[in-house]
Amino acid sequence: MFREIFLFELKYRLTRVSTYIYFIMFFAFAFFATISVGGAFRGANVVIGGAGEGKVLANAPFAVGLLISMLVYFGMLVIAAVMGNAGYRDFQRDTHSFFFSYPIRKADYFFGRFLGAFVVLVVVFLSIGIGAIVGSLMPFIMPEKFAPLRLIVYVQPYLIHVLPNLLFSGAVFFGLAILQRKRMPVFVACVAVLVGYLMSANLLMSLEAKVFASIIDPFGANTARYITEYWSVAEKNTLLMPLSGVVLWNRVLWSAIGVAMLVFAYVRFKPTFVTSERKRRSAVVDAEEHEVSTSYMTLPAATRQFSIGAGIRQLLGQTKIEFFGIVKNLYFVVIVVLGIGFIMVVGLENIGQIYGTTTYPVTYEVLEITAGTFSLFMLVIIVLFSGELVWRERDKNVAQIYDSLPVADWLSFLSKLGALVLVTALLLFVVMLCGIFMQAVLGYYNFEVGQYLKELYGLRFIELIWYCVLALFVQVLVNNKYLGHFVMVAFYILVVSAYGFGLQHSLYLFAEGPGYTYSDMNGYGHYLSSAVWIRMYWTAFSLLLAFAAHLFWVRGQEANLKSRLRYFTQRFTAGKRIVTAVSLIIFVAAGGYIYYNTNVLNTYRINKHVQHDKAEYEKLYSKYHGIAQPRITYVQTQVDIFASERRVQIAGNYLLQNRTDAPIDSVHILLQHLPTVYEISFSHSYMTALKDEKYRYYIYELEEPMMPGDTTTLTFHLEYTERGFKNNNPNVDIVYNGTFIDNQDYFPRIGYNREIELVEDHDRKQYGLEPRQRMAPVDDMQARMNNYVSYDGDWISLDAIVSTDKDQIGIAPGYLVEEWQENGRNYYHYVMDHRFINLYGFLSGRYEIRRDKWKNVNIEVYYHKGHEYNIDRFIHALKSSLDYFTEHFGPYQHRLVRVVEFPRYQEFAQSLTATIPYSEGIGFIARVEEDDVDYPFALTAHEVAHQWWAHQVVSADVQGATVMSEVLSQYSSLMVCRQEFSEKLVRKLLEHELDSYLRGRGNERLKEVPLMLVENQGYLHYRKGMVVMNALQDYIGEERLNRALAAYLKDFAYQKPPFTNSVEFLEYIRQAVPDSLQYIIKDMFETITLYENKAVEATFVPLDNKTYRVHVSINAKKLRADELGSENEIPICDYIDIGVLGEDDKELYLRKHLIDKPDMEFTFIVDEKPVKAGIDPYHKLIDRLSADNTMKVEAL
Amino acid sequence: MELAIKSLSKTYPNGVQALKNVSLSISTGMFGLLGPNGAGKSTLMRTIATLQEADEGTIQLNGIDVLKEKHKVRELLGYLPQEFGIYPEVTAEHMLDHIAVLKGIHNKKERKTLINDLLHQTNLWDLRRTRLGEFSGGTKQRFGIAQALLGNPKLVIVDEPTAGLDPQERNRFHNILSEIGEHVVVILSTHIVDDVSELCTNMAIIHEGELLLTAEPLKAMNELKGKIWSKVISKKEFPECGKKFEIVMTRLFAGKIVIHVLSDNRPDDTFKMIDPELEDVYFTTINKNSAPVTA
Repeated sequence: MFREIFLFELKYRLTRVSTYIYFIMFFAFAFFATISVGGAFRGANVVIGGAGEGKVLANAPFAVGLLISMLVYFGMLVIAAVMGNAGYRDFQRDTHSFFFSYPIRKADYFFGRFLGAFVVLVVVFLSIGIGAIVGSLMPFIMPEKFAPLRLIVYVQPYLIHVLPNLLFSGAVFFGLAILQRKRMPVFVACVAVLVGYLMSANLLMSLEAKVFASIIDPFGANTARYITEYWSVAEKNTLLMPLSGVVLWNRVLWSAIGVAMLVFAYVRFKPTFVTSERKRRSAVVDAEEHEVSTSYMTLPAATRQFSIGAGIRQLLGQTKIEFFGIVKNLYFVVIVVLGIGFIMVVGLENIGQIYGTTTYPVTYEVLEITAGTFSLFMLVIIVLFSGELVWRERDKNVAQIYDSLPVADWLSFLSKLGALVLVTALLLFVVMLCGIFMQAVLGYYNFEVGQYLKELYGLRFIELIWYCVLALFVQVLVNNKYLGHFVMVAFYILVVSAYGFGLQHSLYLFAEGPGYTYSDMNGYGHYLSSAVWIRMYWTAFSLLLAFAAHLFWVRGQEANLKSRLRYFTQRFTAGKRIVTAVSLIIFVAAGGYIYYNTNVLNTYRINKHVQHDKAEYEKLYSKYHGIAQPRITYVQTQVDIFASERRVQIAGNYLLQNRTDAPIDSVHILLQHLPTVYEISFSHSYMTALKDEKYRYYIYELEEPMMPGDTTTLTFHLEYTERGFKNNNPNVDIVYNGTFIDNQDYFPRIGYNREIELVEDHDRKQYGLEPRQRMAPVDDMQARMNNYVSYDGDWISLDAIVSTDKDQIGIAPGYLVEEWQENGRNYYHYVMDHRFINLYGFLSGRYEIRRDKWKNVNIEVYYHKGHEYNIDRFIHALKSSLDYFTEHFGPYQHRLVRVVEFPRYQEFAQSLTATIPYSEGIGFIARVEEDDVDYPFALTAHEVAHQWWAHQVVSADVQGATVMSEVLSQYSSLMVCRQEFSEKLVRKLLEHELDSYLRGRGNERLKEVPLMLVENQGYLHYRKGMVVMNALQDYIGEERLNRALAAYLKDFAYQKPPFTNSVEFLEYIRQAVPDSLQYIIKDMFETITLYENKAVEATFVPLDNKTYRVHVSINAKKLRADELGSENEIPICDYIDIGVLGEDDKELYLRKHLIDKPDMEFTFIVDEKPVKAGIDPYHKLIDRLSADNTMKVEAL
Repeated sequence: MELAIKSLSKTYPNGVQALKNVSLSISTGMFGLLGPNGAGKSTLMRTIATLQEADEGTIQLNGIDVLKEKHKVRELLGYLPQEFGIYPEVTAEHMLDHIAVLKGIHNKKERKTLINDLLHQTNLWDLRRTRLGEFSGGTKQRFGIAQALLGNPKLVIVDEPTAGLDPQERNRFHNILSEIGEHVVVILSTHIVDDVSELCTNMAIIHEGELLLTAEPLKAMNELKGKIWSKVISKKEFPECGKKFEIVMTRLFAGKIVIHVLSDNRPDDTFKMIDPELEDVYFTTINKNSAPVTA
């Protein structure tokens, strides 16, 4: 019997078209994901698990596992559909009354159905693995992105992910369907399960909860992420997911829960016709109806109206009914409550987390998080309930009555659309309340209701209406509820992933075109006009869709193509034709205007085009790389910023000098942002030898060559104007409020610029370019003739006039010498007389100014009104930094230091000379609580440190260049923080840096290098840099290290080419390190060294004199990693902290012991009751598992 | 009120020819559409009720082209489908009110009076606040007729309304229908011959998509007068009788078989002449067009 039921379920599924559609869809997703990650599409930017860029292979076990588990996660809807159908089909079709009367055992029925569906799902999901394998065998992929096929790589994810997940989710869905005898609970459970996943993903973000989050994830995806978070590239490419530890526990736990739920459902399942409750109810009614009335009268007459007005009244009434039909639906309420819960969890957990500290919940940020996370729920609701709405009459079998009523054809569709739109409006209101509620909870009371309304109802609502129309349209056209759901999900995935394939034009990306960023400083700024036009365009399109849906709307019994076409012709009346035509005209006109802006006024450039241009530029001009060119030594400029027009005019002179020892007969000039060129001329007589207007590369031949030491003046006059709007990557430098341009992007560059070359090897290969050395070798003497900040100037001075709109302030690095108004504009004259590195910028905005003073140094903070929160912190950090750095490193070269805010389109702070532009997105809205790392303080100290490390001593443009800028600034900042923060917070900061470094290794795109050879890699020079420097100062002492740094600075500040490198720098360190510790230089700077240290046993005995004898055994292991992270163990002979900690991590004993054997034991006497003991208790060394360094000390 | 159906044909995509060149004229009064299950009755009814298209032919209702001017038809229509559902969570009163609005009755007072009357007439008054999900088969059917009668329809179509009703319910239902039938066109489709004989002034027999007979039930019965002969036989005798006589219908009676035979003369002495019933008309008509009856 079981066999028959099982086989029937299989055969039933095999007769359904949907089964094949699922199979093909998953196959196609896996196939296309694999080939695009495998480099089949030029310019496509598809990354899965790090594969698709860098060195992670497209069929790396890590990437394959992620692909399969991700697609199965999206396949939850399919699991719900198939399992739900197996469970409730007999109730839906009323066939249960037969089945339950047959002599079959309950178990046969229950498990036959379940296993049948289970096997079908396994087969459907096998298509993912097959698709991935077939993709990896295609001829048009890049072979170097694939390892030889290993079947186990594809099989293992099924064992670890697919089967247990299927068991768990299948049991939930099947159990619900068969117990509830309905479909809706299944879909609600589906949403709940998906949310559970997202929630645990979120929990994983906070460092402490990782293990917990890994256990509670029903799909084990977070578990996998947790296990692999510090995996290096080599490990990602070779290791299978280890089925042990949390992974094993998670899988066992959730499989067991799945089995338990199945058993529970089996026990509760009663194969009876109706539940007892229902029986009783209808019996009551039967009893009531025995009185028979036999008096028949004729019915009173009633006026009937079929006017338009009556139709509108019907529409309103019907819309109301449909709306409340959704809102009162229990499942709707459940989904909304889930959504609200999710917003709260995500929002309160996540609003602006940097270094574990929060930012103020400013409205735009709350909106991005709440509306962003809730939009998924909105789409779920739209997709689910569009199906319910379209099928309501037919599901309840009242369609025949409804369809024969004398109402207009549009009534049904329009009332359902209206109801769905009202529901989204209601949900947006819920989002707003959630946002305001969260702000209040977080103690932020500046409720910008206007901003909420603008964002939610002005911009997002319209997009959601498109989705409402589309979902109904699909339901009407597909005319199969479940297929309709699936089509919508597939459509959504396609649209969302299209971007990665280089399909990025908002003219065809439905509701997912390039978005916008709100900034407190600049509002919606230049994004607004494109957002409005795009909304007009797609709204017109949605109107057309709505018309189509109405015209094809099924009324009556027939839904085949022929009758659909008949409906269409019958309903397409003259009036509708006119409205359709008008919509079409708006659609075409808006589309045309968008096209005019994106492709005519501006150039439509996606990644592919940018790459192509970079490759062409390199092919044409890289032959000029390294040729002798004169240097910029002095800049005199006038920058006129017309903020309200988004226009900037730059006029100026460079004083160029031939600092080589050979004559120079031609000057090469590169312009980068396609300005209008009014003038480029030289004080020498010259002729134009090359004028490449496409790549803006110009070569001027000087009639008389510049002899060594000669100077000439280059005069230039350029204009940058933003016209209309671009499709993507708008210019975010020249904006209405908060313009920030720098010389490296907007001023003429002298000579060939290597920095804008195509970087990634696989991109280069596609354009026929050789792999590129990321940086010149550390001792490359030719490269050492340039500093790493600027290749066309060394030390310069600046004289700049900045003019801007009358309500804005213009800023340039330097001392303000004069300020005036002219033609309704503000003018500022700045002079920087002290020589500085060839990097400067200009800012303009409506600023408030806070002034302060440190000794003879003026402190100025330019900020956006309303962003006063952290100005005191900035000023405090500036002063503390100046104190520490002047005391330990050397004098500050300027009489001025400024912090200037700019819009959040880019999130960084940058140290120009005496001027620190600082993004509004970081620091300005930071909210530092009692126990938080004060990162605005740390970041400001870092930027101030650059005034020494980069602005006084600057490295050559070779490997290791950022050791002497970023690494030393990180160190300097850390030392200022040490004075300011508690030990505990310093450790928190360092733990964050260590975590970021270890994580960064796995995302390395080319190769990890030893720190002294760092190639401008952030995770090395910032993250590892701080960790290593902290250990270094711990080993040799702060004073000693600072003396070495000061000596180095003194010897190399303001040097002329050739510039210094990390080899020279390390000599100063080497001299400061005692002989016994010389090995640390090798470990820290010259190699990639990791430790696996752990405490093995720790016990204590209380002694008589209130002291305690602690005994601790440790195990230590030292590893060397190569550039992709393959490791080798090496013998250990290191001095490492052995420590005993008391309450609150108080240090009871801490000393460096020579660890020369892997296993060692120590005994100490301490004065207070010990809590923890072990090796390297404060995590000074690089160790992936810090938690096991210490363990609880047990009493003997 | 005059409904004229001309050469109506319909073939479903699966090849089933549901209607074959059906022409029919129906005027005010009860019209019975009789035929076995699957004869094409519901197809014809749904086509008249604007829910389905025909491949060929026309339907005219007082000059309205039913197949094209659907909206005008719907304004005059009251339709009770063969099978229909209800919104289980809505009360009878609320649902009727809603449908009344959709039928264009916008005046609240009028609507209220109308619905109250209708609830009384269909004997649903006591159940008006009951949720439809709790209705039994009979009450649900009465609710169905109530919704069909909303808005004083001129054309009422009821498709197999008495299937599944107990005799008392059926009786009650017939009373309501005959009442309505005095003023408007009522088309009643059924496979139960008694429904037609009890109610209808006119009838048609439809079988395998073909219209076999249009007649007044009384006249049709009269035409068979003197030609229907009856005899009680045992089961053993049946095969032989089947060969010898043209059996119109058989009926079991107390374990034996009563056969009706069509013959101009008395087949033999054992037969006695009976007054033809409508069933005899029905089976005579059907049998002429299909394989002989077997037991």
